[in-house]
Amino acid sequence: MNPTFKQKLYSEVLRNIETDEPLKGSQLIEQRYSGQDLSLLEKILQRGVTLVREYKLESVIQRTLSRIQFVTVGMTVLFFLLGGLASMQAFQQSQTGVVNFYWLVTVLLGFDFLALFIWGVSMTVAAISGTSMRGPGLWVQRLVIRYFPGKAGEAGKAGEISAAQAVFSVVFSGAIGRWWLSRASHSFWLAYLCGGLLTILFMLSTRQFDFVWETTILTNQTFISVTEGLSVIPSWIGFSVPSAEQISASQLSLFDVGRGDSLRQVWASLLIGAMIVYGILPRLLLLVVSHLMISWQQNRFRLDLTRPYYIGLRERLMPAASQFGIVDPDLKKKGSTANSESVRTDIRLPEGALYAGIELNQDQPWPPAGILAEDDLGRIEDRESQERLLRRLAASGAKDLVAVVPVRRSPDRGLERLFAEIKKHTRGRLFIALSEASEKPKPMVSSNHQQPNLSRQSDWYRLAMRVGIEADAIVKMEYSGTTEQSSATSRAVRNG
Amino acid sequence: MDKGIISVAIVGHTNAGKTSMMRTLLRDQGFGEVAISPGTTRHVEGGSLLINGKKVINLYDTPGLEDSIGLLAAIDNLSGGEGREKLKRFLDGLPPDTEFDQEAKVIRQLLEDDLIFYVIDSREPVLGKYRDELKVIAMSAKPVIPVLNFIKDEHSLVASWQHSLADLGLHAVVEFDTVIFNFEDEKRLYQKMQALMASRHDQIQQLIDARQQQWQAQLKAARRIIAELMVDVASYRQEQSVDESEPGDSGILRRPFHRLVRKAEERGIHELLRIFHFDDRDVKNEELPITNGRWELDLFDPGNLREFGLDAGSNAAKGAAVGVGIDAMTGGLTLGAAAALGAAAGFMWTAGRRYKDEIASKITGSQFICIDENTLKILWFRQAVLYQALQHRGHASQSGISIGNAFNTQLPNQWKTWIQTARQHPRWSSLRGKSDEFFSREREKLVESMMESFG
Repeated sequence: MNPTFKQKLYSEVLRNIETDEPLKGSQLIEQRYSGQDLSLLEKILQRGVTLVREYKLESVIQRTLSRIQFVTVGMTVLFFLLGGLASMQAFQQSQTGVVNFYWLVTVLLGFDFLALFIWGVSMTVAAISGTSMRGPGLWVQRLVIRYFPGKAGEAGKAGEISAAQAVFSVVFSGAIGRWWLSRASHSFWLAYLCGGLLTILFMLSTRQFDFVWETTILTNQTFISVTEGLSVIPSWIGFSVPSAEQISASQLSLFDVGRGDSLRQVWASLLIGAMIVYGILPRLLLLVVSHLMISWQQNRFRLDLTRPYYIGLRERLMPAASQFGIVDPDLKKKGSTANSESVRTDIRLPEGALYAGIELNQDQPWPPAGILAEDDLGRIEDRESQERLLRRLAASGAKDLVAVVPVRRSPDRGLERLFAEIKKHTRGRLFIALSEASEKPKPMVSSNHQQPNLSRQSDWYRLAMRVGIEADAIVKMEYSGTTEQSSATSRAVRNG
Repeated sequence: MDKGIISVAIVGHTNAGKTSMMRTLLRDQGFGEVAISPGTTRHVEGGSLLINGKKVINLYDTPGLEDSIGLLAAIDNLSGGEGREKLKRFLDGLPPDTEFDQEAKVIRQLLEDDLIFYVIDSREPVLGKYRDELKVIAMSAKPVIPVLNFIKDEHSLVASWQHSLADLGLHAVVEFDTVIFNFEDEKRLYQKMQALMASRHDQIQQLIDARQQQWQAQLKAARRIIAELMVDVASYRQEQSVDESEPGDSGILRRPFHRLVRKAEERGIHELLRIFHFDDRDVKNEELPITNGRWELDLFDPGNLREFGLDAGSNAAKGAAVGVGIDAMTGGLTLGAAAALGAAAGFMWTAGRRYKDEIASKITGSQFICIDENTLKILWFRQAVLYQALQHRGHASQSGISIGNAFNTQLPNQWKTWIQTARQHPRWSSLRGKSDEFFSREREKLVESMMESFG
């Protein structure tokens, strides 16, 4: 098992264990990586390795893996014995020392071919449909988990079972699982064939068998060509094979025990050659291929970093944003002035006062209805209009001034300065009329709007206090351009 | 200032939403302090955007400009110097007890940083004080991106702002609502930065790509949370003896059963919020109404038949294969018999494994209760509402998301198949711990199919 795959396996094990909350102590480990110049994946893997060690899960994982190994090896041994028994049986059908060659070959290789065929088909199907052939894997998994030793480590028994589950889910998942099962099945059949071959060698060295063939409906020529076909590859690698004449001579009815020696030799050599060439070598090759495929697939194995668990880890290991705190502190803490307003009764705006519209909304008509042109000091919204206002105030005598300002406007220091100057230049009384937006807020947002307006009001009271305007000179004003008596509709502001 | 890191000053009038913008860009509800009163932020505070642990952009949240008319007048009164020079001289000449303390902090940032986001409350009319703010900012001779905030508000005056900004020569305007978030708007903000800072093009592109990738990953994770929750709940079933399940009776078994489902939903919501960097206070949760359905084995149900036939068939084949193996191992003497027996055993194995609980319940006279389909629908809609809401929630939002029992969306086409599949696999549920079938590829396929339906 290659090391990075193992590290990924550790992270997957932790994912299964940490579904509810991170393991204790993981935070400390995560902090260790915060300053390091590692990629997210490297950090996740290193965290996994450290945590798995800390919680002694490594041995659990190792134990699970070796149990899988144990089951596989056990099965392999079983297959080896079965292979031996099968070929022993096949020889034993004849007490006379005469063995039907094709019957023997079918027993030894036919079923191997069948199994190979089934493997090929199921691999193709599984690869196309993307399933994992988990059936047999599940069976091994149940076997291992059910009889898992109860020595609970630091992660607890539940933790150990979660760990084992995660190991299985990775080792038996997808392509890795498919090739893992392939490797197991090839090694089983290889063991079976080796067992068979050894038994054959043993039998052939210690006893004397004559190989024959017989048929009822097939022609002799069929047997000759089949045998010759079978002999091609073994003969390439040096096994002696029967000639056409020798094949004909081995037909049961023509069989002559007298010239058996040479016949026995070539048939035995063909049998061993066929076992090796058609049985053992292909399985060995597929075993190697499966093994390589497993390592290749393990290398290709990727953690799915879009899973919620890894998204959470990313936040902790490699945040996308961070705070670096205050860089230019506020040295003059402004003492918050308490507002001690009580509930007010109606306040009437004075008759014949001057009116100035301060930072009005664009859709707000000006002047309000009923204001004489000479009392209108205009819209005030920039430096020039402010200066003009102050000049006109200075020239206007002792009239009262009503400064209309939308309550939504933020009572900032600029307005505070303006009001302070207006106050300085006004010889009459100065009123602040907080105007509401002309249209009523829609019911669906009203709950959200009420709060801000209330808090804005108290901000306006605070401003008024700072510039020396009495609280009873602040009124709320609801007006639109067409209503006749704006002063009549003004009413008290309740400040909470 | 670190070389390589782009520094951005976020400036604007008081209460325009500068700190809100910081919160939304940093995805951090805990940044600074947000309030409706003027002058909430009175210091300069910073946060960084990172790619792979490396800082790319430093953002500086500044105090609000409050008295720009007075400020501009004070600066204009200084004799000599132009632009930057004049701003520096203004800072140098400030008395220690100046009323322009906050403005001075802003000007210092204007001079130090590479780029300026000028945040505008688009509900405000274009007043003289805002024009004066822009005049002061223009003196710093830094690229400026006006950011129109609160554009989703009904009183928003986007058009008139855009017009006025164009008059001042500012065309790279971005609409970015800090409360009602839109990822595409955020991307446009960075793209405008790219346009104004050509030398930093690649660096900003990396940031855009990283953010995009993260956003996609977040969405995918959120979809998985919802799909896993649905599978867990839909496949869950619990045995109950018949006499307990009289109508109107809320048997002993049911209360823990309901609690289990509600807890699963709560956990799902909690995880969803965490994925999008919110916390549990951001959702106003109404309790999920749960009704129980009964589950009885109906072998003639088409879904059941298909499941049974397919799976049993494949196991019969496996059984036969094992049988053939046995035949082979015993020297072929049992040929046929073992294969046939194996096939039969494989079939029985499947049937027994899949339906053993049901068969046992028939014998012991108990029933299974599972989550009623209406409850599942409501559960699904609630998650869908939350999923949509979280995608459009800025980190400056103060009001909670309400997930009531909405029925406004369409059920996905495969809904029926999903529920049927889930119900046939009680072991796929992890509500009471994970079984080995939890890890099966088939369950994963169902989860993925649900995830895809979000599009």
